[in-house]
Amino acid sequence: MTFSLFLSYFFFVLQLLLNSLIILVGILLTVAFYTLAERKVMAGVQRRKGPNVIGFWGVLQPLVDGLKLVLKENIIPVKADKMLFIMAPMISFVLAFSAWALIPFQNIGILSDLNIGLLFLFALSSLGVYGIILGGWASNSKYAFLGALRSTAQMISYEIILGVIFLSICILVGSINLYDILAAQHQIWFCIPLWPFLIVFVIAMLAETNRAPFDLPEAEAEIVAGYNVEYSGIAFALFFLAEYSNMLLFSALFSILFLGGGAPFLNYTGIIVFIVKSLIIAASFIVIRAGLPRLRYDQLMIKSWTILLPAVFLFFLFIVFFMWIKLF
Amino acid sequence: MLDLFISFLIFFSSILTISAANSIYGALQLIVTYCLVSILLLIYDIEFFAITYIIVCAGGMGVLFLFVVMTLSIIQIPKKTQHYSRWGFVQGIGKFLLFIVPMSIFLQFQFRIFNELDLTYLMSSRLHNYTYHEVYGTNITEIGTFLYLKYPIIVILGGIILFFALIAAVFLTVEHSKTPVWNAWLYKKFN
Repeated sequence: MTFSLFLSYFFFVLQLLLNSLIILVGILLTVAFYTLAERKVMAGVQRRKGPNVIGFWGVLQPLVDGLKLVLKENIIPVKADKMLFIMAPMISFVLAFSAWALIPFQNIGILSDLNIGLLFLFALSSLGVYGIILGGWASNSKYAFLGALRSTAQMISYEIILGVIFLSICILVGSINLYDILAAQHQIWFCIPLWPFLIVFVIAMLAETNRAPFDLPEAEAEIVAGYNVEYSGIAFALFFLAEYSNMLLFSALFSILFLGGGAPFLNYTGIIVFIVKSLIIAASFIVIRAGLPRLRYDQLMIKSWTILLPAVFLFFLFIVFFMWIKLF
Repeated sequence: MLDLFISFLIFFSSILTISAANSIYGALQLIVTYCLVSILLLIYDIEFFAITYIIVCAGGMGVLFLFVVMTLSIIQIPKKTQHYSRWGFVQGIGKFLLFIVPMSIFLQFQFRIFNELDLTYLMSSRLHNYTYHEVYGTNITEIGTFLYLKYPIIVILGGIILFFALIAAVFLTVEHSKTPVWNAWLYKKFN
């Protein structure tokens, strides 16, 4: 290997590392201030003040919360399965954050441009169940175990709906590359022709990220806090970060699939447009949490299997029929 | 070299799957095996199969296995019966040598599926390379043309067999039990 080749390779790797560092730090900061935004908006809806002590208007509250969680003692229950107990939050955290490598911030790939981008995101979200189910089982507590079982059943059943939605978008575009999906929306955003999917996607998105009104895994009144009852300190922080990162990821995915991402603009304006779109959807997560009551568990499952899934399949068949007609 | 290493890891983790005393660890080892197999497929540039393998096996079947093992209370195999698992390990290796190795050689000579598939498509897809796509087609289009244009009848027959299996499973579970069984299990376990 010549020296120049080695140098170019070195700079390629360095650029890749720097890019991933930028994305990672950016996402971590966004998640931190997203929690603050959630508390502020919830307080506004409920006519409270919210966090307002630390920093100017309570802006530094998430940093102090993070510091508290890091300094807190990490308690491992005596009868818990130690290895799995420690591994479970790591699994959720890594899977939640590795998905960000695929998100197209620009029109040119920042980190990666896989041909199987959408499928890869789907695979990561389906592997995310393991963190929850292992955390619930390893902590050897009934509340945690029941929460984990509920959460797993819920995520698996709503994953099918998400899968059908992804599939029909792939059929329309003719590719599973995220950049091709963006390029297909230059004429019209998919939220207009595919509005039934948009409604179902919002519901499935809320259920997949375990958010209100589908936050049954952590129903405070019934099963104290679900799968993460026994966790404290940095392990709890990892679960927390993974959950909020997943919410932001799904809002980014929503803006890619239905709102065109940063598609019409080239380069750096595209990033801003994309981020603004995603943040508006992320804010709607909070407003939905403030406004809607929680569903009962059987209602949730019945809605998934008897109403949403047949409806989505029906519309999927319609799309296939439409594409078949277009062939002639 | 890397693929040899990964296939060694697959062999090792599948041995751990059948020899684990704790059945939850067994299920976890199975999931690790699935993930390693998908990495192996990625090394051979069969990216679409690798991802579908993760989605179907690790994301669907693995979770269901774990779910079942956790809800049933058969977490620890009693020490009296542990030698059965060792016997199963010996049997497994025997079956592997007797059945799978000749079968794989037979398959290689008979079908040559992976030889006909031109899987030289590289994973170096950091940036768009449309000319390459246009010349060779992506992994998915290749597999699609191969399945639906070359062997459509076999695909349809496989689909029909799977459909029958689905109907049979529903029939077997619905016919004989009026009350759902696993509700009773949960009731017994948590009461």
